[in-house]
Amino acid sequence: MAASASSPLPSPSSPPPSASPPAVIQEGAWVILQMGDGRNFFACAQQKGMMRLGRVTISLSGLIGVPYGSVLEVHPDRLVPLPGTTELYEDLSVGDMDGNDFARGGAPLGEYDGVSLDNRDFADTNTAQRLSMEEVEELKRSGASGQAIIQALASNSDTWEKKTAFAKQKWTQKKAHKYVVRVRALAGCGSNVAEALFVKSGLVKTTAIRPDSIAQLLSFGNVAAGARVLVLDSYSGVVLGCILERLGGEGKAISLYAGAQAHIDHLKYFNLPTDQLAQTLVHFPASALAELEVGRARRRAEGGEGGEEEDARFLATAEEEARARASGKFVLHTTREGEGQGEEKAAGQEDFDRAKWLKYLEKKRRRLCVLAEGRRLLIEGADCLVVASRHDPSVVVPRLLAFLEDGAAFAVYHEYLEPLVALYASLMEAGMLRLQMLSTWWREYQILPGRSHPHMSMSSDGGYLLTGIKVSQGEAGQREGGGEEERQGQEGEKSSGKEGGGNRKRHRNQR
Amino acid sequence: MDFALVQEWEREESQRGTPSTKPDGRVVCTATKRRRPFQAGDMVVVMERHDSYSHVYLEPGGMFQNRLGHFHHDDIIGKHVGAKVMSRSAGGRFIRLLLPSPELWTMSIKQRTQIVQDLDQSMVVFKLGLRPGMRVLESGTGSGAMSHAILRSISPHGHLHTFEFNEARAIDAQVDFERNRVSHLVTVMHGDICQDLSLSDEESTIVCTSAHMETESDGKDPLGEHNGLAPNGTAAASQPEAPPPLAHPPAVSVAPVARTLRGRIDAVFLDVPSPWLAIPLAAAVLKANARIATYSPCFEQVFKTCEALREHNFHSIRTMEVRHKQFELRRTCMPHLDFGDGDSVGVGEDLGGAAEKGNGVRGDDQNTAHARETGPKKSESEGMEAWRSKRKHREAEGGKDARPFAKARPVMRGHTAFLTFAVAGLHPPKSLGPGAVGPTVPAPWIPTSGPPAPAPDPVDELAAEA
Repeated sequence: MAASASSPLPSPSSPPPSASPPAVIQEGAWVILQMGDGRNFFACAQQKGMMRLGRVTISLSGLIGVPYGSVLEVHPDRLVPLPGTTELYEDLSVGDMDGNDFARGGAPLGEYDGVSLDNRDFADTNTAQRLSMEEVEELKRSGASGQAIIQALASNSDTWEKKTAFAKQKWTQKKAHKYVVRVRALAGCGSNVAEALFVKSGLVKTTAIRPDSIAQLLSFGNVAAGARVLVLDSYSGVVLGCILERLGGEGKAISLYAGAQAHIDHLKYFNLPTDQLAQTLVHFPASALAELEVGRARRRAEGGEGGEEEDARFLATAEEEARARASGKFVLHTTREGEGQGEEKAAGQEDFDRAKWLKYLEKKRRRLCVLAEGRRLLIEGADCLVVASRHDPSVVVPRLLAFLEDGAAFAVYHEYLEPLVALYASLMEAGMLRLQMLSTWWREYQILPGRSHPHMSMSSDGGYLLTGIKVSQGEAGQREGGGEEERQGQEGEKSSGKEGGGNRKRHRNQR
Repeated sequence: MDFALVQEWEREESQRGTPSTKPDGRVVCTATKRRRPFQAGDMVVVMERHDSYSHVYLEPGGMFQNRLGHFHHDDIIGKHVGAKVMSRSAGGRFIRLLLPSPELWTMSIKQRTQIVQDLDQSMVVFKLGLRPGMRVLESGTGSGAMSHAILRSISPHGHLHTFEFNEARAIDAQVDFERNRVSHLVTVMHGDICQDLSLSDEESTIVCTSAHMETESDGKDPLGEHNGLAPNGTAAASQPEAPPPLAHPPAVSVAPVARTLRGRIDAVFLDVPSPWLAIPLAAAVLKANARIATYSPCFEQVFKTCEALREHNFHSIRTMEVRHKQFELRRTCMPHLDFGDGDSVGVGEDLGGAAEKGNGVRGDDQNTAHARETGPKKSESEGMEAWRSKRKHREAEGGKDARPFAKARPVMRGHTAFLTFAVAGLHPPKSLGPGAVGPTVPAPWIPTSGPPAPAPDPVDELAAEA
């Protein structure tokens, strides 16, 4: 029964050497390139990497070895770091006529001169600029720097002198975005990735989940290192990535997927180490949940014990799997998802290319290992449930809650309120505690001397959240005695039916 | 088989959380408390009503009292989470038992100060990018609500350095951390982080109350080495069950703290009256490209803070506000408006009926018959019929036509504070000149292990001036 050596459990984890991500961009890392106008691009730092950044195609080799947070300039088709630069366009202060450092913050408090110059003489004739488009193009072709072009544009503008200092700065910044392409290389941490994906989707599309919603899913879901989190993420892995980051290599994220494989396109942006992913992430097909519900339901009905017979079948698979992994030998299984059929079929083709066959077996074995581990984890129960899904939560969540331990927190996100209302009603009937149905209002402010105000546009919809704490009504909440000791004590009598029948009946009546 | 499972489970349990089970971080750690009934010494969150929580540290023979009557600790010990415990005095009244979490801790504490609400907590923790193993500086400690939220995300290997300028609150917070078994993750310091760093050591006094000062790899205490504190062997060896009586806090000063932690902090959170005064310190202790968050109720504070952040070479400065709109569940039915359509379309007619009229088909029976013949309409009409029969059934059952609706609570909290986030720059401020145009040829980049191009240290600068 020495399952220890062969179990799929992680080895005891030592504290990670450094919690913060690496300070410099490694080759192969995903980086977020943030432009001055707020656009974000995901880029993979590779020697031969190329990508389109707005209007130009650039080489990405310049990213490697540069510290995260650096400012880089496109010059002319590669990225060149600008050491010593903090703000993107801090050296491009053409409007710096009054000696004020506008790019870095503007006039000191109380020296707002917006009143002294106003727009009473402004005429929108579109004739103020003496330089023609052709002349600007000619300048560009002659290899003039962006700064020089902006200078030329400013000195050829009739209205330049009449502009307020603020207007000059705003004008310069706007031109800078056009003629000097600069980016900041951001690390792919949870908040950056979530922000970039959300902004990228342009606020109007509902393809991304708003960062504040992810923040709350993590907090109200009580996600912390060491927790066993059951996740359903329909947002291509961005929620899952944030959870894995918060777990930090300790605990498990059991990620449910529908269909043939998990859709986790965005997970790569988080640059999570492979060994950490292998240790903490368990993909589990949602279609394999139903068979596990029997044992869970039984155990719940019998006040925390029982259901072992139902579970044993799956745990047997897990055991053999683990042993097979240790010995390097593949063990044939007949599982209930019809995976065995492929086995037989393949076994019939003796002249099948052996290498391919072995590869196939290895892949299958690995998949079964993960499946077995997921089963084991779910049979034991999860600590948290985080759902950010497009599925109907009123159908999905009550069934997922069955795999949660009592006292565990859950957080459900949905882009619509109505399905959450139905869920709220059913969870209230089921006696869940501290139920909250929420939407979040999120407003940003521009804080600049004389120009502080809320942003002119803001997101009006962050979706809806339903959070709560799972408790079971009836026996489970009232059971006495230590669970662990009892579990060990029952080891000998597990096969007997126990007093299950009566208990179950009583439980049903209560529900 | 089952025995093996239990063994595995036990082994995994023992691997989780901190290796020593004594200060197990129970309040902030989610996993170590699975499947165990409440024991003496545990902290239990007591739910009195859906919006009213308190907490209790269990001890045999103990009892407590709330609006629902008297409750005995012995009635709680041995119970599992979610259990109801009946009042000993008032018949039929009960409390529910819950496991502690930072959110429930926030709900259940006696507020020593204005606390950071759970929504603001979640935004700060997320946008600071906190993750296990990080080292965080916080001020002020206040009621410890934010501290616990930070601790949850940096446990089990990180560390929180927290400053509180009110001595009583600093000691109370230290006691809370001890009782919640997270003191191994926290160093509480009594002192004002906003003091001018240029003051002499005697003037700017920070008092350290931590009984569990952390031992650095070089074996020196990060704070003790500057104030003649004995190496903290005694403090570290102390038993968490019986924390030593808090000695009169030894005095350390701001500058040495800043010097010790310089360039070693991953994130700073400031909830102090004058956060702009603490920005120099924050700039000194933060790693390059690390983040800071400030929490200020007033606009003037935000303005000065942003100014100070720009001065100290922070970038990506963003100020924001988040608010919750809470929805309640209402079961209600909407009154019908009688259009005078006669019997067939009277009370209880539904939208489906209206749609039919829109299609120009008169009469329910006709429509149904017609629809059955013309294929595509079939399912819709049948669905409607099913819906009607279901509804009739429901009406017969309870006579109730109520449906659940979400209704926003009429009053919401209008404001807590502005959250300002910023990122520490990689470089010292550059003197700007019109000549500095275009990209310079990049020097061969040195990927150092330490923070590249350390910022000028205000501490040293100020010391040099003095």
